[in-house]
Amino acid sequence: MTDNHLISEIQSTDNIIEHFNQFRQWEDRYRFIMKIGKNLQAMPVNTQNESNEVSGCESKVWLTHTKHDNQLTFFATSDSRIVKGLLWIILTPINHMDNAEIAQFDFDTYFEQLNLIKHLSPSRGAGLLAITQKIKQICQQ
Amino acid sequence: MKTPAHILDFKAHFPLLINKPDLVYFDNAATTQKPQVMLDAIQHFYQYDYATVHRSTHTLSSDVTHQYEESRKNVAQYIGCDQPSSLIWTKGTTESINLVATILQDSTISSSSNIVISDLEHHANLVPWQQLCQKLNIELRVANTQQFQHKIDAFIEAVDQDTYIVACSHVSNALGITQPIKDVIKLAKKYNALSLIDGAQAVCHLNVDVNALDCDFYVFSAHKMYGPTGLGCLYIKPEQQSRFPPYQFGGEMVKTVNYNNTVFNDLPHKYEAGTPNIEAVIAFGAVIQFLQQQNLTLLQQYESELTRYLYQALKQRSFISLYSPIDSQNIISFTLADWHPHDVSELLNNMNIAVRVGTHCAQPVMQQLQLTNGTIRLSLCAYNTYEDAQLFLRAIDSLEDFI
Ligand SMILES: Cc1ncc(COP(=O)(O)O)c(C=O)c1O
Repeated sequence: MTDNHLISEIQSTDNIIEHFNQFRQWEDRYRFIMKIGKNLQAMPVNTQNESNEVSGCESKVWLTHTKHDNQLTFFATSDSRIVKGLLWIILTPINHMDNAEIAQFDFDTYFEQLNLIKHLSPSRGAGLLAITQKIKQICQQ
Repeated sequence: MKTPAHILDFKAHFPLLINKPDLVYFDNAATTQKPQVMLDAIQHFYQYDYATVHRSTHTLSSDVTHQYEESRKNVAQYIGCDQPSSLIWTKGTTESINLVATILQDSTISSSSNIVISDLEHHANLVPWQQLCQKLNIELRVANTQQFQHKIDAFIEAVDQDTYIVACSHVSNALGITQPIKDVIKLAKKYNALSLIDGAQAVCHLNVDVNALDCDFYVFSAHKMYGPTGLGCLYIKPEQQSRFPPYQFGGEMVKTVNYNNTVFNDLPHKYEAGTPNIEAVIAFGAVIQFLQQQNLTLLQQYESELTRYLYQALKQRSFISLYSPIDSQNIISFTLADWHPHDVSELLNNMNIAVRVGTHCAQPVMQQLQLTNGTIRLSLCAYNTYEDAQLFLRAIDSLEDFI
């Protein structure tokens, strides 16, 4: 079980990778993913709509962002608990980065270090890719 | 509950299940596993008997042609058809239906005609008819089985003197509902309409007798009844056989050809242009022989018992909603409260349990049930054990530990 105190400390990619790699069993990995998804920041009002839906995912995924003083913050959610957890894993580190860092961020390496793709179904993997591509696109706008 | 010995004996014929003892395979409606006799037949065919069929006169070819036609005879008999030439080899159920839709398109359908399907169809028995109707600008009528309760009434409402064909599944792949096909076929006949029955989910679990059913077309796939992939069957009732034009043109489907004209061959060859999937036909023949050696009544009884057992067990769980009827044919479609079906299947998959989730190539069926994410579908067959069922139930009960 991951308590909230711990979660608030897991914020950088290094933390997440370290935390994730301590799991020896798939059950623990999934438990972590499904529980941590509950800590996703709520989407801003009226943003969970069709125009923010990311296509190419097995389950429904909504992604939006805000811009304050030119700094991007991403919000996302899904109707799948597993995907919500994955979204937390994606968004938590980048929401602590400035725009330039996000644009540079190498998601592939991150996922590799998490040993993540290997444990997901191919269609989930494709969904993750669709989400990270969308984030990169937004950074370039 | 203990799995009877004869079921364990049956299971022992399936090498994949032996090689993967931890696997719980509940995706049989998608495709079934294969018995060793089928693999042996394929190996033997390529090692000793390989040649083409029908075309050549050497011994090898005439021997394999004999085997090939024996397969046809056995499969025809298996579905109650005493005239092997009424059974056409195709690539699968999908091609069988497309073949019929194509040859009908070239026949004379008047502009006031309609085509009737049920609201339980797989896309394979829906889209070809929908496209045909759009092309000919005629009406596609969907017999609305009204929450699937008043089964034949829906057809009585839809079929009339302008109905050209009624296409209906024997057993629904999404929910396991057995349709009242005997009455549907009778109704079609009353209005001089053709009838096509999609038996993809029926042939593996029910005794099919096309002669007694008296349908014009009956279609199914070998791979869903322990047979090889890439092979399907199309039964055409004898009196309909000369009525329709060919489907594809080429070798074998002709009698004589000159630059001005071609005389087409008789059935079944008329609908079997080109070199066929000989390997699959030989393999399927071996599977049918294998099935004929089994006590099919006992196997079917067991399948029903196991389905009932799982059904009742799931019904007792308040967090489960069932969408299949209690007398469902080997299929149990359900959802878990507050769970995305894909999350369920992902966790089950990690527990070595193979199920299918989603809309099961039957999106309109799921739309009627307002299940945008579809269902979790268990589909059983005779090699599934009570241990499989118990592992599955334990897995389902363990899901709440993840959240
Ligand atoms: C009822 C039904 N019809 C048609 C099909 C299509 O069969 P195939 O993919 O073998 O052509 C299926 C297979 O899923 C089915 O269950």
